[in-house]
Amino acid sequence: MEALSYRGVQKNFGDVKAVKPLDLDIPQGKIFGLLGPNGAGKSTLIRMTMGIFLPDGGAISVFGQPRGEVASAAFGYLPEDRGLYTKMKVGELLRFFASLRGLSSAEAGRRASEGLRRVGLEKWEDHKVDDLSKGMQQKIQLLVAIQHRPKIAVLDEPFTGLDPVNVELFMEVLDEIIAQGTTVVLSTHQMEQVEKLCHAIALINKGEVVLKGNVADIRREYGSRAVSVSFADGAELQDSQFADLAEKVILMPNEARFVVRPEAHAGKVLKRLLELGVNVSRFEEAQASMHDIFVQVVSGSGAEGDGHAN
Amino acid sequence: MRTNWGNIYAVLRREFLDRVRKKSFLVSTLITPVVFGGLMILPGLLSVMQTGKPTQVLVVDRTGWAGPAVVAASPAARPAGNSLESKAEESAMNAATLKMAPAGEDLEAIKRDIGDGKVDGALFLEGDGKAELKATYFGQNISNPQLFQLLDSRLNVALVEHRLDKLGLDRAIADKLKGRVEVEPVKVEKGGKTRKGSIMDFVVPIALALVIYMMILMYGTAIMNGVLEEKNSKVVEVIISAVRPFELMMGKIVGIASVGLLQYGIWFMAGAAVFMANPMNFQSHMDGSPVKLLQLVLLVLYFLLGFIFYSSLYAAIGAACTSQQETQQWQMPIAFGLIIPFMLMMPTLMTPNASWVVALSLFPVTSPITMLLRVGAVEVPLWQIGASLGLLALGTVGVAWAAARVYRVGILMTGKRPSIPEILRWIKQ
Repeated sequence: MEALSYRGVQKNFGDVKAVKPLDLDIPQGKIFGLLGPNGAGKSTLIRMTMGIFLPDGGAISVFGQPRGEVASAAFGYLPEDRGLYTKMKVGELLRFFASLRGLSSAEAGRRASEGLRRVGLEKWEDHKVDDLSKGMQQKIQLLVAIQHRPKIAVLDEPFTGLDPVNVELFMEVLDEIIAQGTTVVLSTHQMEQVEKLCHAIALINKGEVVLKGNVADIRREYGSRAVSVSFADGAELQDSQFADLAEKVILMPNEARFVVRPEAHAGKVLKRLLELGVNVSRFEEAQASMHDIFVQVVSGSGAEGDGHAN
Repeated sequence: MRTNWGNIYAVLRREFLDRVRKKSFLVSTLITPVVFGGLMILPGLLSVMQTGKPTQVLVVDRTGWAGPAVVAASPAARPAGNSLESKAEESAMNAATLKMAPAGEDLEAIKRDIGDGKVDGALFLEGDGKAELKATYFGQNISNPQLFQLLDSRLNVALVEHRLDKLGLDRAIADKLKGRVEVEPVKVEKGGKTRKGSIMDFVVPIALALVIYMMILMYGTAIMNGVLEEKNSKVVEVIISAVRPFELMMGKIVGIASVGLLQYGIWFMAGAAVFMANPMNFQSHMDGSPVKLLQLVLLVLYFLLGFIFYSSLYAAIGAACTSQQETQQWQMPIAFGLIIPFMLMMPTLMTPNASWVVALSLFPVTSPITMLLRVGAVEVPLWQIGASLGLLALGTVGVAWAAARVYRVGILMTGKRPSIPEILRWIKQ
């Protein structure tokens, strides 16, 4: 079953169409990446998911139930901006948010100490949030989002302000909650994390989903079009000999790179090389990084849009 | 989704503990009674106490009889009393010392001395065909009411004595004639029950109204600033993803109201303890106490309803604005609802059953203060109290509903300030 389903969901702010009618399914029990440039409509989509805004049209369902009928305990939320009461003590703050998500006070207390121990902040329980570093506050925000073991945790840019060690810690914690059955929706700019963590993604630009699917499939699709070759006896090769197969050809004395046309196949490039009598010593499909894909898709779709990204 | 009382309680509890645990709560709980006590008692104390040395008044007599009589006159004080009024009168009687000017002293010369500050003032006495006695006071300072109270009193005693002398009455008999009488106020309550009036009859209604006024202004602004803070720190997003805006607003308002009630409770208990510990005070002030149970019940009811009424408005302002400066222009019209009945306090107490006063005590915006003033002053018909509370309850529900709608949209708005038509649209949608 889909954890989240969006059907024709849209939101306008005055004349600005922040999210255009959009269909999207987020599968259960995985980490789903919500990608997109600043101002693409990710945060608006997230806020509608969290029930902070109501969509102007369309419907969001959660495990098949309409969003409005789902108890807030099913959700956890880490907002992009700092979302903590800075004057409260860490332990009290965690217990307060736990009680808002329906935990009893005893249970809330237990989860707070447990969570603080997990992220290595057990000594800070009685300190004010203000006394914590930015990275530590981010850990508290993560605990606020997941301590009540929600069915769906929505994390908007969770890695901001974290050092590499803590990024690793966050990833471990995310693995743990996935193992417990939580579905994580992650919004981020950091594409390495997307490659490591996300099972599937949706790339949003100008309020529309411009790319969605499994990360592996997407990378294969985009990756299979980039080919890198090493060879001998290829000094006589001409770009024009590959014009029907590749949209981009870079020839060097002992190496070449091709971006294969979508309708063609990398194998045909190899076949052509052999037909031309080139002695191929290495032929590989380059893995396209999510970063390249992101840039390629966004700049591609950006050219035709009216462009009010901020 | 139905209102989740657990959420309201969680928000309420956080707001309450957050504020009560602050040092500023302790400080304001301790300091306020001192400052207030000072503000209320000091002017009285100053009017009772001798402040500075008495004014030296030279008496210049052109009548031949009045000068010495005025200097010698000892006004018959009202029956010795412990009341503030008689204390004040006593102190007025010491406000100046009178001395005859040397014979043949020129008035113009004395005026010059007064202008140069060598003499405080001069009382010029003359008689003509029309009046037996005409008195003029020359002085640099003619704004001391105690001085004129003293001069009036002495002059009139002297004049009465002079007239009695002219009638040829024995001085001993004349002294007996000077005794004064004073009206004793007796309050009649329902069923013809009577009770000696005291200064408390005047103080209690004002104090009740003042309590409400202070509370709403202080804690209403606190709510507004709390909303503003939450909004600017974005913590509101996390909260709103878990609770409905209405629950957040109500939790906040009731939480902060509880802080206020606790604070006033502490003051009330402390005040009661002080009175109890001093049997003399307790006897003289609390005997036949003018504070009735009904008043205390009404104080709490009007406080709670009025507080929610005004706090909702303050919460809506906090939500609609993005900075403290922006809130200023909205706060003013709201504060007027509280300030106007307060400014009309004196006429309200003098004519507590005038139709305009009754109207103000029924109208939800002004009723908390005006009705408490009326209830302190007279027996207000129960139907009026009922109607006033009912209207206030209705008004409170209406205002809270509209405020919750403004709040719901406003707390997530950042950037430019909304216009009034925009806010009205938020309420309607």
